[in-house]
Amino acid sequence: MVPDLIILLLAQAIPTDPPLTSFRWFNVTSQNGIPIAMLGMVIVFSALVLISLAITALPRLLNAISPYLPQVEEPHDGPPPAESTAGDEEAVIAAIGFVLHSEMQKAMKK
Amino acid sequence: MEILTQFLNTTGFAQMTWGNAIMILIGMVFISLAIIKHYEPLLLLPIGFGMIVGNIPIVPGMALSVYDEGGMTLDLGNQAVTYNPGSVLSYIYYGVSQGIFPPLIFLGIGAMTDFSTMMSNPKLVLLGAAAQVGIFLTLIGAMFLGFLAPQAAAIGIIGGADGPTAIFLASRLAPELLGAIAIAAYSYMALVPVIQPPIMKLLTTREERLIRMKPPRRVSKREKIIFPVVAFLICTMIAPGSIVLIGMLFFGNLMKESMVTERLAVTARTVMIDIVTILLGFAVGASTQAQRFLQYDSLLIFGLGALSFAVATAGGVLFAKLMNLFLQDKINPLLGAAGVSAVPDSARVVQMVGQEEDPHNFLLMHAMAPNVAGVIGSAVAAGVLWSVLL
Repeated sequence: MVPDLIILLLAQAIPTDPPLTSFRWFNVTSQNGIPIAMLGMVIVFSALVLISLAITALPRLLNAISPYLPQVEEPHDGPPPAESTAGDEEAVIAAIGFVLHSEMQKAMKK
Repeated sequence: MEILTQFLNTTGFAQMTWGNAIMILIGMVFISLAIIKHYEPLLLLPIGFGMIVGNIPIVPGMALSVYDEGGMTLDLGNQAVTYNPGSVLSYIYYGVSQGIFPPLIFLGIGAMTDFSTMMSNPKLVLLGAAAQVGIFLTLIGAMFLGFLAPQAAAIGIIGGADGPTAIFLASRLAPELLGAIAIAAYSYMALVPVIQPPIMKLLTTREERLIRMKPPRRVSKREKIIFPVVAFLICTMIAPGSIVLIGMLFFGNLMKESMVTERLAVTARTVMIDIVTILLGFAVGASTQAQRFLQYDSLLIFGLGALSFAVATAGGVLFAKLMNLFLQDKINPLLGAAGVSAVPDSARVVQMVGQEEDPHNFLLMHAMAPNVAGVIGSAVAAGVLWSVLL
């Protein structure tokens, strides 16, 4: 009996279909606008703060347990091999010249 | 002669209203913006053409519009059940009205997003949270203007600058406003380069815009693989309503980072997301029939959407300035504007505004951190609003 009475009183107290009037602050308060907005903002912040903390802690945690973890092949994203330059070409030509010169010297001695 | 007259009465010319003509004109403007100005062409072009398609007057009795759904009818006289096939467009629109397309788009976004910039600088994640203030302040504004709480929430989410999220929440909470909310969300996403820079410049000094960020640390492959699982658990334990969007986002990201499902990840971020974007854009455009769209409420929604976007941008920038009061390594407050989740446009705007002051200041990579954090933030916000207001 008592619970039924409480439910009845609550049902009367909660506006199920609030009579909304255009451009009225009453529209916000009657629909719990401020608590919903504050709760929503707090939840979004909490989720992202926790993600922020998790990604801060993740590398430390992984470092601590790395001896027990299998090796993961990291992508090779180091600097690409240096391209040949004009200086390199000169060095190659000089090397070829040196080899040719040495071989010709040997041939002349024979 | 009578047949000819009857046929002429069914043509679009005979039934055209001023409202239809205006909507067709708006569709053409969208197409022009996409082609000439390159404003979000992947979205504005399908939406624009969909608007033209949706506003061709329909022959009475023919199932042609997105709202002509099929279904069973019971004939009490014959005691027979007959099936009325709906229009082709209604089947495509089903993916919008039932919230099917947005999670699929999130899967593709996850499969193409690199979270490593965010993981290398965790404090920038908070900027993605701060920018969501636009959603909640607009919720209050919409209630003030007379919208019911679920409608106000669906309007507020426009400030998240995330089209799929806005469509998802509107389809759940306020399907009657879906067309207007979707068009407003995508319009403002396309107008990011126009809306954001004045607010960013107004709220920052030249010295602040010149701040250079430290290069990010290298994030290991193992961190990248673990992150989607950890972040999913955190978000959905706090806001279970975000399971669908966040789940698809991080599932897509796990497919990408695990490197063992490369084929699936490539399909999700290329072919699949393209197909869904085409269907979603076209169906949303086709749902904007003048009789339903050209209403006073739609105007209010566009106004509130602009306010939401502006507040979100300002919220991110101001929060970055607040953080600088406590940080030794100052962050460039322009990065706060990237907290709205229009990926990657708002990050590009940050880069553009930063380089106006210093052409050698490269902020794009750093701006991607709050940008992707904003995607997570707006999806969590949608989940919260859905759970609270359902």
